[in-house]
Amino acid sequence: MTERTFLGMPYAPRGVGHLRGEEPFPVAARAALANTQLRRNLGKATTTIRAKRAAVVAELPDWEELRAAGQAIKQHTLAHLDSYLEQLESQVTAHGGTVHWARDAHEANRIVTGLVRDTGAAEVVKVKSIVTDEIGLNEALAAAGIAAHETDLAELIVQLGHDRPSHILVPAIHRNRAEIREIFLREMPGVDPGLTDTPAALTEAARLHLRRRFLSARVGISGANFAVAETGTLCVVESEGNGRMCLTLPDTLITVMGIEKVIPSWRDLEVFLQLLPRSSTGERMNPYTSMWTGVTPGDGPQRFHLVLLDNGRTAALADPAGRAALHCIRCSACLNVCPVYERTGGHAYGSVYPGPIGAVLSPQLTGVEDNASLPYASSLCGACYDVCPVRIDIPSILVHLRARHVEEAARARWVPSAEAVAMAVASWVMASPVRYAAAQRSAGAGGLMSRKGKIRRLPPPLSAWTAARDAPAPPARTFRQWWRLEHGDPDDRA
Amino acid sequence: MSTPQPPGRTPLGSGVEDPASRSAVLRASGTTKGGPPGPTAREGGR
Repeated sequence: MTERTFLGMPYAPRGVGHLRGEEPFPVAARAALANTQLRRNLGKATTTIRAKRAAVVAELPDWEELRAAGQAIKQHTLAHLDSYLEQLESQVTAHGGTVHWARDAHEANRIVTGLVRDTGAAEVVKVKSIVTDEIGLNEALAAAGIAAHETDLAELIVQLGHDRPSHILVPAIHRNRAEIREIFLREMPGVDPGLTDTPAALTEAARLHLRRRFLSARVGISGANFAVAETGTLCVVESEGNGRMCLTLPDTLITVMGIEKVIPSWRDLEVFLQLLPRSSTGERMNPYTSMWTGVTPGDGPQRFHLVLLDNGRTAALADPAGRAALHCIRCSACLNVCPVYERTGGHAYGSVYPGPIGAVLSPQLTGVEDNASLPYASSLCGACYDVCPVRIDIPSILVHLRARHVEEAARARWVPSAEAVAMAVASWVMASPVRYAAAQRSAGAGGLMSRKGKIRRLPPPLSAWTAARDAPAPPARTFRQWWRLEHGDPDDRA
Repeated sequence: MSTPQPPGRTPLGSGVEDPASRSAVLRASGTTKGGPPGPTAREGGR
């Protein structure tokens, strides 16, 4: 297989993991928009989370200063990423852990599968981890005969439903209580056939199911929200306590972490532990914050492995205009305010990173050509930028990636695209007042195709525009004609 | 508190790791550097 690179850095490889959809966003979105149940579920859930977040953020008078601090820490860390990664490796190793380096998903999956095999275990329990979804770890483990059991409630719902996550924080946001009850009744061994769809009953069923897994598992697999370089401490924040079980009960713990998750110090962690829960679940503090440093004899896992994953991250880092996407702390606040996400849901994005942040992160990890439609999955309203706890200017990165896509596509084509021809013609027309005036007059003919002030279908190549939206009917008079009527001909006055 | 262990990387029994990966990731993360260094949290005035 030919390795695709950007400035010498490998992109996330094709054929493994979940960073690419089977269909471009507009096609997938059309199917999602037709699902009225999905839109109701999403609308209700995102409205609730938005309100909770707004309330707890408003409590902090220095919220903007916190955001600026979070942004500054991330910029500083990425500017010295190699140094902090080496410091993290040194500290983890000094405290009895083992550090592994993976350039891409294939390597990471091989490393983790090998580590599990070495323990002799045939099953593992997992803390919710998007990065392991990114690399397709569950599939790799299954191919090696190892069963991976998700223990986060929403991830469990997704796994039992043979489904895909659709939200960074709430992977089963597209499911309502009735659907979850049906999944449990169908897929959960030994579940009470009289199960109701009340939250308490569904949670209790999941607790009983998972408790058996926790107590028998010999290997736990997690991601990491943060890794503190100065002490080699890993940090996972969660809400259900399943993470604490996975991080403490098994004899072997394997943590897979994107290299951008390292932060320099505990003082920096303080900033993020204020930003993250308020932005993600709308809580002042998340219920469970687990931290561990290497291994402690007689207490908790006795073997700890940390897998540091690149998988396209250094390719993203190499782009000065796009690298801020690596500042993301996976809070998902941008998803909950996005008018596009709220209507299409996460599956339409085709990547484990949906929504606005996914639209800037996924194309940079895979190379823009593999996710070319995602930078256009936005109205550029800017709501994502307003709520981002680390001030990622997502709209600017979207525009930058659109430009990259256009430039890369132009280089790859022998014949100019219809869009490129249209832009060249527009440039030629607008360069001359005479040509521009003539074009305005001729555009009036478009009125013949309009009904009720809108044109629903234009002939090719302009049909690409009206395939997804109406075009406004041209006015009866051009601006110049109106001006002459109101103010006289400027040439006459001269 | 964890108890410090002797430094050193434990070899994998399965031998699946590419030793070039560490240097490749470190080299890439170092040579692509993330723009002008910003202040850390406290240096930034918070």
